[in-house]
Amino acid sequence: MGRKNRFTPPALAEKILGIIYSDKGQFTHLGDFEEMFLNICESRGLNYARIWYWIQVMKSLPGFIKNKLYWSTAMLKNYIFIAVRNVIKNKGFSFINVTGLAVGMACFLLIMAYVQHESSYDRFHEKSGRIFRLLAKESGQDGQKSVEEYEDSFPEVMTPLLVSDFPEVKNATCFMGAFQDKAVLKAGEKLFYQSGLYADRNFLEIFNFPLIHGNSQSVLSGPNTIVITEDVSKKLFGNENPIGRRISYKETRRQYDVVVSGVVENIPQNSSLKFDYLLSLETLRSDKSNSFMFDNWNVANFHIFVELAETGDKAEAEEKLTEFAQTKRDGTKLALQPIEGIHLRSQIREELATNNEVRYVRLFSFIAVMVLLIACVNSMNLGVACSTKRAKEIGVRKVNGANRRQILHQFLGESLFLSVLSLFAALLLMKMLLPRFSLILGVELKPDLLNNVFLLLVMAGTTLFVALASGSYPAFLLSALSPVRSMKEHSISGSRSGKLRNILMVFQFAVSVTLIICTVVVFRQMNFIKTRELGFDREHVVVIPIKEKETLDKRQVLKTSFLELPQVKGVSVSSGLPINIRSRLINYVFMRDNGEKVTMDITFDYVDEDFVDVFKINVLRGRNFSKDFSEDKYGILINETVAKKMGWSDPIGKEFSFMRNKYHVVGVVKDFQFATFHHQIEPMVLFNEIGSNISVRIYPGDVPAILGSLRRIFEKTTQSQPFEFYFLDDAFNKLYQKEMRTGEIFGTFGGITVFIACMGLFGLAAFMINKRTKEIGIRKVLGASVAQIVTLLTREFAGLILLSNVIAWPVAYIIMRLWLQDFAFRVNIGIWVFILSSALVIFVSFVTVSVHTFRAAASNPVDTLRYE
Amino acid sequence: MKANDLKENEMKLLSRSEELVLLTVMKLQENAYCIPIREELIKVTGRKWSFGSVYDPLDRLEKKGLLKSYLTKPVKERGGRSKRIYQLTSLGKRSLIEVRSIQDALWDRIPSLEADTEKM
Repeated sequence: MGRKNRFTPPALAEKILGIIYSDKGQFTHLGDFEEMFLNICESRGLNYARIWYWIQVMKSLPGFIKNKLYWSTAMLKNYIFIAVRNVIKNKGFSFINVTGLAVGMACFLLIMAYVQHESSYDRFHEKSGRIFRLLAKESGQDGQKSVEEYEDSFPEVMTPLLVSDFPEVKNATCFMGAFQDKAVLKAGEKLFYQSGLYADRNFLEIFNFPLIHGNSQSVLSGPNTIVITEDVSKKLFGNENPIGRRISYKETRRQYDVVVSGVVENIPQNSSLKFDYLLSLETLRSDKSNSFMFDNWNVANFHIFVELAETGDKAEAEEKLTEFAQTKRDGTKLALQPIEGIHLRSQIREELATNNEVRYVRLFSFIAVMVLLIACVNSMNLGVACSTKRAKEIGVRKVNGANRRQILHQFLGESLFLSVLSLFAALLLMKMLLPRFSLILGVELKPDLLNNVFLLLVMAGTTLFVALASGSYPAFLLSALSPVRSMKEHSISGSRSGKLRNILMVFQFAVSVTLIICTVVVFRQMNFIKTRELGFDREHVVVIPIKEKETLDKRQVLKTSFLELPQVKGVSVSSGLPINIRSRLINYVFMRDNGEKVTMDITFDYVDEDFVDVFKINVLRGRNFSKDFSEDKYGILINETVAKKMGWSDPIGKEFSFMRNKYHVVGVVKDFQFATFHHQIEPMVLFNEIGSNISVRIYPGDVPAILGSLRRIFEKTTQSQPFEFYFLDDAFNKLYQKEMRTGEIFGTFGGITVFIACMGLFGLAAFMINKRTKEIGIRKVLGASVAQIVTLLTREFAGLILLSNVIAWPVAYIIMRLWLQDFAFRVNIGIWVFILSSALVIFVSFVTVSVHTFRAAASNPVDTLRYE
Repeated sequence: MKANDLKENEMKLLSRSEELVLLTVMKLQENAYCIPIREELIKVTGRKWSFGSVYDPLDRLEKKGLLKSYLTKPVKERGGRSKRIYQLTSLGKRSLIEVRSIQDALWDRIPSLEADTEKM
């Protein structure tokens, strides 16, 4: 048997040859070739025989193709002629058909471009498949249930150990963000806020950020060197070569004079590591005030990424790493997260960059597929409706010798023609919709259609799919007609096709109603969040973050000067803001008065004595911090939840030990929503210390003028930091961006599906009423009123649309229940949402149908009966 | 069939390749399928014969009714495929005889070709 296998012709070549000879004597011809092949094998060897076989195939191809083309074009001219004539004859139908398909395809393609963008994150690194982020898994307690939390902070001293002690790890890099998220870079007179990283020398070897100037092995190895991106280089130095130029680097607690050692290309949009500059880690190491961070197992400040060796197994490496971690700290498990998974599948507390969730991407793709399907259904419905008119043509073709396959091909070809036409329309639409889409999705999409193989494939695939999906049913239906029947009867009534048409229509409207209900619920939830009592006032607050040491020293001066402005009501200098109090202690154990132990997670932050007033937070018991009491340095404010958990009925003056210090409670503030509405309000403690955010409460009025005054004062007081600010309510809204985006997606697509479905309904109604022209004429002659006829005609559609609502309700309810589960505070879905959405869709569809029904009902029976 | 019979007398003459193929088929008898036919043709004529140039006349001749064919049992060496063995029909034989007689008649009218070429 082995012998036989060895001496067989190349499989692919044999297949091609089989196709070439498919119509005549395939079997024996192939046998001839194989026998010849064996003969040649024996006389001149296997390889020669293989080449010979291929040459035979190649020789046969040109003639074959020529033949095929010749015979297929014979009827093609006629098909094209008929197709074009049909499009022109049914201008209205064709327009509806192409528009529907174009809208559906444009949506689908745009979403595909988005999906491609989202899943392309971090794949541009050459070794992306072998780069992993080191994570520590900690088990914590969240109320009753235990939760696993991932962290990505590690001590620096661990990095070299990873490479030397673990054969699986080929290389490792550690880096950390600047201490405030932005630092000031100053060259000459120019200064800008930029965000960047302290990175060690391996950074550029593991990641692919191509250098324009400099050598990737050396640019980050020395102290006081900085690598900047092309954009930053342009901003600071114009078109001059920046290598060797000096930059003064400042942040709140550190400042260095550094030399530019390299320039990297701008960071691609699809990178989760984003930076404007890389400061060498050696800079930090050589600064004595940071020595606590280095060679210290207790300070975990760094992100660590490892590159596994080609032979390294991830699971094995994780096991060994965990074993190692246990020796340092009990209960810690180490895990490796693929870099490609960071954008869509990561769940750690503080991410490197705003990331997405894979379920949102899935949801969007699902909706896109739905829209495309609806468009196809439309086209299919219209196709079936129109093609019943063409039964006679098919009869004639069949009588003249056309076989079923030819008619099938003709109709599929026609729908391909339509779908190619729609593709071009879709591309135009895409171009128009792109800005709006980018806005909704929050990604600057720039699909370069001609150079994007994936999108080209998707486009071709979609076109073919649409052609098949929308053309197959009419094609199969019509090609199966017997010529006698189709010639004899006026038209095929086809109750079967009618049933399918109804099912498809119900499907369309069910999807539309579902999307609309979802939109309403999402917006209601968002509205609920926005109007809900937060426990503080987020309006009219300007936040000026301080990023740099010199300015930090002047924050009290700034505060007093701001207060002098008449439009300023109050100023607070705090570390935390009410919308994001994030510092957290997990599993902290306290003693209740009765000796009972309480374990809780405490959220805390540092604020000054004006915090409570500026943000209008209610103090329920005790008092606010005050300058008049010197003991307030060790005073704290707690929220109601702490008091409740500790079982304190009168918490004022109670002691609270924290980080080796003893604090006493001076006041209890009303619970306010310091995290997003996804979370319940947790125990929170405020310490009395000033921070680096200046929050200014202004009186409503001429906001630009107030901002101008603030800027003037700021720039007069400090020159080392640019004036930058944001409004608290903007920052608040940003917290719910993902949800807002979901709402807008639902809304947009809901609108689109209703639009497409109504286009289909419009066409279908026109067709069906057209078929009943005579019936209407007779009814009118016999005395039917316009109203009666309108009712009669509408009834048919009304039932279907009502049915689709009945289907849509439970589906939408289930989807929204799931979505709302993410929120700790949620709105009631409420029956009226369903009723309203359904009413909207029903109304729109009735208006659509009524255009035709009224015209038909109002027509003069003389005209309709004469119609033949 | 009727049309065929009527036209039999005025049927087109065989082309040279058809003639050669017919002759080869006749010679090979029970073994007259593509490969030996082609080999024989190459051997006798000393020229190249592609597969196509053998299939084509075989097909045409079968359509004209000068050849008939049947399939053999599957053969292992051919990847389990059958051979198509061709045989002359009586019509085929008759047309061969016809061509032969025409050629003979023509040749007979020429005194001697070899002598002629030598003179030139």
